[in-house]
This record gives sequence, structure tokens and C-alpha cells, in this order.
Amino acid sequence: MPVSVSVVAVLVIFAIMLGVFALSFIQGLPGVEYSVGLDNFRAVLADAAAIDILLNTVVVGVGTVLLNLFFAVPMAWLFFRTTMPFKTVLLGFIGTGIAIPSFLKAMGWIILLSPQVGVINALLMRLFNLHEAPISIYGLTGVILVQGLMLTPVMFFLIAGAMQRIDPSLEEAAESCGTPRLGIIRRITGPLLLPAISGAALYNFMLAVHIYEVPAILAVPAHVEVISTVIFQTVMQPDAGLPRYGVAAVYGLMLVFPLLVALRAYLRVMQEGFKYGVITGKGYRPKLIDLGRLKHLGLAFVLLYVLLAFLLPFAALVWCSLLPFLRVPSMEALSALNLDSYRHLYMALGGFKPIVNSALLMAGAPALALFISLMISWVLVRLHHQGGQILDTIVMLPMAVPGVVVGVVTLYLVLQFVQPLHGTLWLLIFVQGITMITYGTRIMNAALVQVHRELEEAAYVSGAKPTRILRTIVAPLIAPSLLLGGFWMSMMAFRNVTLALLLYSPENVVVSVRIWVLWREQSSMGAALGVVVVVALFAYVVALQKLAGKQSGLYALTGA
Amino acid sequence: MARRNRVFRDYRERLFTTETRSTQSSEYFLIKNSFLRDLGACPPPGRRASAVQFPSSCNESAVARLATQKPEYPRKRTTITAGVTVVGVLLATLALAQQPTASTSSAGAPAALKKTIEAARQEGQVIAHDLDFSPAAYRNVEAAFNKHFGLNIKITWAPFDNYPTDSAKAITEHKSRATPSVDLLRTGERQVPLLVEAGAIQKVNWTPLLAPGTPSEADLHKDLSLVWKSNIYCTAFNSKKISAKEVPGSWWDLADAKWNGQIVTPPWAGSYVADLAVWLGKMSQEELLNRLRAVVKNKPILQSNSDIHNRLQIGELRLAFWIPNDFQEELRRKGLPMECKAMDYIPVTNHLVVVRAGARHPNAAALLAAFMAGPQGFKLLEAEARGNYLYPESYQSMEFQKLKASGLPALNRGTDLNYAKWLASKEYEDLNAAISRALRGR
Repeated sequence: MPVSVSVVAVLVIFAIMLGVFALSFIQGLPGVEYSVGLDNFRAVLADAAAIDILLNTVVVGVGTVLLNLFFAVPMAWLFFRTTMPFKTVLLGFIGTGIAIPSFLKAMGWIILLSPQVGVINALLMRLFNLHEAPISIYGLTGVILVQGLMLTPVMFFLIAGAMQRIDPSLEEAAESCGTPRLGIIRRITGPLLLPAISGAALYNFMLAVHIYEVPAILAVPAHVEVISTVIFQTVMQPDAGLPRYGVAAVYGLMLVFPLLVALRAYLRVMQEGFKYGVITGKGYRPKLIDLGRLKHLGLAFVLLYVLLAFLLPFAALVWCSLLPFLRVPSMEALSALNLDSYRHLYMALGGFKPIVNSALLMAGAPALALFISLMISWVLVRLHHQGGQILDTIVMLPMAVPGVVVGVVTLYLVLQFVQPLHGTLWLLIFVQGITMITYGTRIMNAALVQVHRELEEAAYVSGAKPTRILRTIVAPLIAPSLLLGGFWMSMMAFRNVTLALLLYSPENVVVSVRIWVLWREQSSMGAALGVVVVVALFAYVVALQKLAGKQSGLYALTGA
Repeated sequence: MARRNRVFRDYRERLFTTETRSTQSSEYFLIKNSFLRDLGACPPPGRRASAVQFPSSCNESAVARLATQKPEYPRKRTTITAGVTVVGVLLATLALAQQPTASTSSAGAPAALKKTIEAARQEGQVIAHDLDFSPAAYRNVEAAFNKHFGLNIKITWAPFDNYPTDSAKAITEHKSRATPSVDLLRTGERQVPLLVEAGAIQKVNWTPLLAPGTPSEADLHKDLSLVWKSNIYCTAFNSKKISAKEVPGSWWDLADAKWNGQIVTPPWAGSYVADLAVWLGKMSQEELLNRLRAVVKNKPILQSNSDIHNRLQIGELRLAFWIPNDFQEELRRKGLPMECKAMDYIPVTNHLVVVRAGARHPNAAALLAAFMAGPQGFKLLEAEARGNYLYPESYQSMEFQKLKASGLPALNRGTDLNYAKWLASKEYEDLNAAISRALRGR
């Protein structure tokens, strides 16, 4: 079953990528009168700034990943390997931050650090008698800061499961030999987490280079362009006519090459997976490290992240929701605060349907993605067949392509081959699930690599079939990764607007689309709905943790 | 006095129906047709009353006073002279049914309208692109629409993204023979020819559906689209941060070094620059690009409309160029001192709605389009700071007159047919692309 499911799923993804490749040669819309040629490539390569744009994009990607690593790895260690206090609430903040729209996060930072109106700059200039603002949020640094904070939870949840499953006896053995703590992290913990971290870094890099709103707001005013802003300005908002999806596809294909290079390094790490197996048939019990007085330092570190990535943007969201139009904080603005935006929220949401649809989407898409991801990862990690690497490569390719291009190709394929599904919630669940397989396979790869094959071999020898082995041995052992990955995917499914808009029909309207529409029509009401959603999701995350486990957060401990 | 009062009351009875009084003073009065016939007017048969518009200085008392100045009136009903002058009378036919329900009931409407209404009633719902209204306004639209046609139709508002993307989706659906995801599509002047070419628009004979008082120019592309709102694109500026005098009057003034780093405009600025060069200035492409490079030395910033709006709102920008003026109006109403100043010329852009070919609810969609383009739809639009320049009383129209007073030429991008042809030409597309590249410093 794993092989057949993997092949079918990958064929679907391959069909989409083939469509993207074909689109790069088309001038016009797929399926409509169009011409075929190299004009799209000429349009992209003739751009004198193409190299600069690509370099800026890579800088944003690398910078974002470095900031992610700075926050995500220590936080994952603190949450899942130590006795740091207040984990439930703090995990709620980390998990819920995704619900705050990224453009609002960028606007929030402008309110703080704009050279013209930034509140912090105004304070510093008054305090130190400065003539010019000392800090500017504009430019690549600002983009890296905001995106780095924004994407940290993605990496956090990608490595959380692997972090949780490390056998402490390995670290204890090193400690008993006199190895200092930093040395243990460098020589034992770090290498054991390498598959998870490399997968997370790869995924986050591709995610970072495709975000549009943050560089549009923070880079463009500083005359810095990246691929996503170029795509929007020249492709999606052309001065005339229809979008030039073919040109967008070419930009996406440009990113495939660095992706393939990075993927090769990642697959080499995965090939040596046997080195990272920590869950074996021998005695194994994960244990939490008592930080002692250092727990306050750890807590301060996490609180710093929560302040920068959640509390400040959430405060900006609340501020926007209470004003008739966007304003920087001032005494005059304080007098205009009101709750008008909250009065008609249910009506603005459009009833109960978007909530029900969103709930189904948040359950269905991750379930589909995790199931298929597990099958694909099992083929890659266990079968050690060349085919496994090909499958994993194909699964990663959609990450290189702008989401709107994937959406357009998917729409076209759906209209051609499965038209009855057009406009249904099932289609949205299916497409979202397929697009999340990339994320799911990073989690599953890292999780499966940690489970030593001897456990499965023992079951095999005893006559168990692969399906039963997967269900009764593998799945329970990687349950933390399944739960954490599933949780994060549900948040991603909730948040995705691009696909929800492209595939929209009244039957499949979801909350993220309503927030998006409201934000455009009346920013205060969009912000108000955002506040309510964040609070609701926070409660959901905290409740989920209480249900799932009592010890250290969002997982259930299993083991020998 | 008593006799005068009795006459006055009689006249008032004759003047105004017992059912309604106009709630908008100096707009329309409902006057009994029997009285109008006495005055020598010819209201349509079969109606009890008509809506009549008077000069704004008139009001109910004035009309009644004029009527009572003829003491012989009670005895000479058929010989009332034209003591009341009616200038610019619009006779709107109102069928007042015995029960006050719909303004347009099946009984009196022309056959085509009646047929469409009945078909819409069978359809029961319509899916239309949203109108950039506040959430409460959508309920008002639905209520007013249903009341106007005597229907009980549910309107589902689909999210509108932008003209290129939504039109592309419509064409893709149409070519795949899929059921359209929306019945009533919002689109732009540039996209209509493309939709027509793809066959994605259903032709509708708008004339019988349009309410009296709808400007004829609303039927912009003859049976294809209706204008439901318009915009004037101008320089948006915060009058507390920069005075109108300081705001440049010409795009070419931006070549001055003092504008370095302050030129913020949406990506479509190129099409307005193209207008300056080709349509108004008759420049060669080489001359245009040379002049443009002088402006580009000041490093213009191209950002989306919504990003520019946000930056203007928080006060980070003093001004921005080629911004649709309904944005300024909306913020003005909320208390922000935003103003609009034209640059070189006054471009008026029309925003259109079309019925999708193969729509699930075509009749309901056609009626909704006609309603939004009509006087009632226009009033709802104005309440949301979305104007329609085709109506003289619209703030858009008044703004247009104010800008025209500066002596600048105006260009209605949709109604000038030669311009529309050029907009659809390869020459325009190539020029636009060259301008875009230049604006981005390429």
C-alpha cells in the first residue's frame, strides 16, 4: 500500500508540475487561445535586474532561515526537552501567531519603526535629541526580521517531534564522560536533529522566497525587489489585460535549480538515516532535562520571541480593530477608539457556513496530507530505493513555484478532468492537502529516520503485514510528529487564502476568505474578525494541549 | 383664510398621495396624475401618481402656495393655468398598487421586464462579486433590490480580487464549459473586449430593465456591460501635511529633484503616462521615455493600491499619484483631511458589471446589474463613498466639475470609442510595457 499510494499522489503532483512547465511556454491562458514560444523566458531573462532580483531573493531566504534557526531550535529544545514552565500558554502563542495576517504584521512594524511615523523612532529621537530616525524597518533587513519571526513556528513544529524523541541516554553517556553541555549539543543533539533541521531549513527557505506581502510593504519602498514582488507587479497586476501566468511560471522554474541543489544535500543526509535512529528495540524513555535556575533565562528567551512575533502584531491588530481608519498611536487617535467593528461581526462573517467549512478544511486537509506523506516518507526512508528519492524530489518541486501559478494550473486541470468537483469544499480540501505534502514529508522523513528499523523487522519476522506494521508500530511511535505536524497543517490550511480565492464558490467559502474580503472593504472590521479568530484559535490550541497530554505540551508520550 | 386653508388642504390632497411623502426634500414629489392632467401635463394612463422633480428651491409649501394663488381653481379644475412652472420635469411612472409593495409590479411593467422578473423569481438567488461595501450595506442592497422588483432573492456576494485575475478565471471557466462560479462579474474597460472575444459575456437588452433616471451612458458597451461606479484618478494628498499649491500639477514636474523618494504610485501609472504621451500630448515614444527617465531619476516607488492607502492613512505618505478618488472620499468622511488634485488631465474610469455566459441565475444577475446602475443603486453607492460620475448629483460628478474648473482636459476612458479601440491595441500594450520597464528603472 505505501508504494501504490505514494505513486498515485506523486503522479498528481507531477501532473501539476508538468502543467506549470507547459505554462512557462504559453502566452495567454491555458486552454484558451494562446501562442507557444520562448517569449516568457525572454521577458524574464531580458530584465537587466534579473540577477539582482534573484540575489535579493536568496538573501531574504537565507536570512529568514538563519533567524528561524536562531529562535526555533532553542525554543523546540526548551519546550520538548526541558522543564521550562508555562509551556501550554506559550505554545498557544506560538501556534496561534500564524492566524495574524502577514501584511498586518508588516504594517505593525511600520507603526513601530517607520522613519517617518514610527513610534519607537519618535521616542528615541526625543530621548537622544536626534534629527533623523535611527532605525528603519524598510529594506531587506526589515523583511528578514518580519519573515524570520513569522516563519519560526513552521520550523519549530517541523523539528519538535524529532526533538522530543531523542534518547536522553545518549546525552547522559556523554555527560558522564565529562563533555560540557555545549559540546553535547554540538556533537550529539545537533547531529541527531540534522535530518529534521535540514528538512525544515529547506522548507522554510522555499516558503520565505514566495511570500509577497512582507517584501511588498517593507522592501519595495526601499527600492529593493524580490521575485515575489516582481511577479505581482508585472504579472498579476499587469497594466492591461489578463495576468501573465506564463511569466510567473518562468520565475518559479528559476527557483527550481537552487531548490534541487539544496534538495540533493538534504537527501544525502536522509540516506544516512540509520545513524539518526534513536527509537530502538532496547530500553528507551524520553526524559526532560531540569534547567534549574536557568529556566528563567529560557523563559525570557521564549517570551522575547512571543513579544516580537505575537504580542506586538496582536496589539497592532487590536488597535486597527478599534479605529475607523489606520492610524499611529496618539492622544488624538485614543479619542477615536470604539467597538463599532465588533457589532456586526457575525453578519460580516456571512453566517455559520464559513466556520463549518474552515473546521472541515482544518481537519480534512492535514489528515489527507499526513497519510500520503507517511506513505511517501516510508518509501524513501525504509525502502532505500532510488525511486524514493525521485518521489521526494517531485514532492518538493511545488515549493519552487508561486502558489497562484499552482492554483491556476490546478484549476485548469480540475475543469478539464474532474469538473463536478469544481467549487466544492472537497476540492479545496484535496488541493490544500496535496500542497501540504511537501511539509508533511519533511516531518515524516525526520520522524521515520528516528525509528530504528529493527522494530519493524521484528514485526515482519513475526508475520505482520506492512499495513499492520505501519498502523500498530510505526504510527504510535511517531505520534508526536503526527500530532504536531497535523496541528500546524491545520493552521496552514486555515490561513491559506490564495487557493481558497482561486477555487472559490459559495459552497466552499472559508473564514480566511472572509477576513481577506473584510480587510479590503473595511480594515477595522477585518482586524476585528482577525482578533476574534486569534482568540478562538488560541483557546483551541490550549484545549488541544490539555486533551493530548499533561506533561510538556502538544504530544502524547509513548515508548517502551 | 378658512376658504384658503380649505383650498390649500384640497390642493395638498390633490398634490400628494396619502401613501408616501418624499423623504428627500427637493428631489421627487409624488403628484396625483389628475392634478397633472389639470395642469396640462400628460402622465401615462393607468397610474394614480407620478414622480416629478422640481428645482431645488421648491418645496411642498411653495408648490401648494402657488396652486392656491388661483382662487377660481375649485370651480375650474380643468382650466388651471400653468401657475406652477415645472422646469426639468422627470416624469417617473409609478404604479401604485392597492397594497404598497414593490415599486415595479408585474401588473404594469413592460413585457420584457415582467418576463425577466418572473424568471428571476424562479431562480431565487444570484451570486455576484462584492462591491467593496461595508458589511451592513450589503443587507441594504439586498432589501432595496428585492423591494424594487417585488422579489425575495438571496444575493450571495463572492470575493472580488482584481480585474485581470477574475476575468482570467471567468475565461478559463467558460472555455472549459464549466458553470460560472459567479453570475454577475465585476470587470474593467480593458477586460471587456477580452471577455467578449472569449464569449464569456451574456448579451442583455438592458433598456427595459433599467429604472427611469438611469443615464443612457451606463450601457457602455451596448448590451454587454453596465457602469455601476466610476473613479477619477488623481493625486491623493493629506491637506494637513501638504498644501494644494505644493502638489504638482503635472507628471513631468516630478522630474524636479525635490520629489526624490516621494513619488509613490500604483503599477498602473504607466497607462496614465501613456495617455499623456499619446492621447493628449502626441509625443513620440522616444520623447516620452526620455522625459520619463528624468522623472525616474527620483526613484518612483510602485506599490499596490491597498499598501499605498495604508501608508496614507497612517500618515507616512503626504501624497500619492494616480489614486482612485473614492478612496479620498471614504477617508474624508471618516475624518482624515484627504484631497484630490488632477495632474495634467482628468481621467475618468468606469467600473463595469457583466452577466456571465452560462450563468446559473442570469435573470436575477441582469436585474441586480440594472438596479446597481440605476438611481436607487446609485444612492446606496454614494452612501458608501463609491460614486458614479454619470449622475450629476454624485460627489464624483461634482469633483469632476471642480477639477475641470482648473482648465484641464478630461478623458472618459470608456465612452470615447476611439480611445477604447486604442486601449485594446497591440501598440498600447507595447507602449505600456516600455513605460512599466522605464518606471522600474530598467
